[in-house]
Amino acid sequence: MITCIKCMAPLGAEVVNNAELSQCPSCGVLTKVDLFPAMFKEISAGTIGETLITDNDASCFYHPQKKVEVSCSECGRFLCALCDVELDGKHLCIPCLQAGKKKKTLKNMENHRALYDNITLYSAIGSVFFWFISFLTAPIILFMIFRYWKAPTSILPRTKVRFLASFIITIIQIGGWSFFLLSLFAG
Amino acid sequence: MAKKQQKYKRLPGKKRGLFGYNTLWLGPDHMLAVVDRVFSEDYKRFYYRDIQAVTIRKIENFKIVAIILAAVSSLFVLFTFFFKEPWSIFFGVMSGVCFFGLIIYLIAGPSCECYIKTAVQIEKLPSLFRLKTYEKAMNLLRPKIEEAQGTMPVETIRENISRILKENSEAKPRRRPVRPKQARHENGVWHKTSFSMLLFSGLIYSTGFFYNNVSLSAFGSIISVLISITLIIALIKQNNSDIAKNVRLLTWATFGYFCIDFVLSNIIYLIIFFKNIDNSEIINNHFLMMKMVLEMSPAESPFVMGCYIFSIVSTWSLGISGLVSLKKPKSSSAGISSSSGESVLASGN
Repeated sequence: MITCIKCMAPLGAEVVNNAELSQCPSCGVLTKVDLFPAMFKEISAGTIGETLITDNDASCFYHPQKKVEVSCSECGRFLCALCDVELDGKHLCIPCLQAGKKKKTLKNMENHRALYDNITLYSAIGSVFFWFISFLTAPIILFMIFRYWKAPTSILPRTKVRFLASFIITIIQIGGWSFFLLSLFAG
Repeated sequence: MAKKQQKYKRLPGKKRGLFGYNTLWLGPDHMLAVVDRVFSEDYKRFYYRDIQAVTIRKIENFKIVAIILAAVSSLFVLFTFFFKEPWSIFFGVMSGVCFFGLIIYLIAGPSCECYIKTAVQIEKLPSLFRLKTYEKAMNLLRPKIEEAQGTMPVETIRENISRILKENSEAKPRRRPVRPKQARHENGVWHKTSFSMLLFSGLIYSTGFFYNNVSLSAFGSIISVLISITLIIALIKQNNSDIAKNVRLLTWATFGYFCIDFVLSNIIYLIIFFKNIDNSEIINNHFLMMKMVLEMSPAESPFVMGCYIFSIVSTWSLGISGLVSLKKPKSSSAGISSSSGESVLASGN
């Protein structure tokens, strides 16, 4: 059943896939619903796998009493229908799925990334305003730039311009401190 | 370094928050919702084959915000002509900023809330918060979804929905549906009175800004007391009633304004008290103290000027917004509207 966002009253078919906004018959709010065929698609129940009948057939690695359906694309272990997880056209077992998520080898399982280029850039800019701490932060930022230069940043298209900008700022800061210290010791 | 392939294409719309922003991207087989938190990003994927529905609700505050911006801009223009430099420059700049903001707001158009539904979740898409942006984004997203799911004629979709509605109405409910509490009808008389008197109070403040007079200030204080009484009655009356949510919020905002006004008035009283602390004749005579408070002109102190400006802007914007909101046709539902968006669509099966 389709309900209004605001008042949860059921909406009729006249509201669905309209070019213009329609009024909810209950609260009068203007609403628009775009429905797609997936709404009416039957979601089939998962299978638990066939029971192994003869000893000649291969059995699942995790369920010795179940028949093999497919092998894991990562580790090659035999899997029954229950253990098989399909992702991006590949068949994986649960441990490989967990390992792939943890090691970030499965791109479509990634839901979080640290933006090291932003961290170095904002730290470098911040240390410009608080110049007295740049003596400490500049080498740290420089280390981070080299350490995370090749590390994956965002999964979206992104250039290295932030790393370059923070590198320039940091080099200027280090140069400034070096000049200051040299002039101090030179008298 | 090898050039990274452009895998994602950005959809129109960007919702900026305090510490980041929300965007949507079209991938090869899914739509990616990105929450950028400055130092990290969070991702959510909606596969095209799984998207069941996208729904929007228009938010009815477009006119109110436009009126407030126009009112504030006009006030600053007025002040620009009545004040000398440097205040005229300051008010001129503020009126320009408000006017520019109004133009941008009018061009951007009405705002909305957008939700996407799959079999397992209903998620808000914060970046699609303008109707125009939603239309542009859907024009890019719809072909991708149709490519993954195929197309179904609109008549077939509507027939399926009607069939499901009929089946659900005939079938016994599995659990007792949550029904909104039956709301009492309220004609909004006390709200209208409060907002109208608030506008009148705004007029008195505006007059007092240029022509300071004890009687006028005293009259303004009496009006404020009367507004406080009608406001409290309105707040009591709107409880469990069918008064629109906008009007309720504006009534509470007016109450908040009066609380702040009360605090500011007492601060002015204390300023005068400490200025005349050596003069026991004045500080022991409450009537004289009141007279001194009422006699205070905005030109005497920046703090008093700030209080006047705050009062003028608040009374006019709240008064006009309240009366405009009350003029809107009331809903036919007797239920209290829910602000929850998570139950927007239930499974059709």
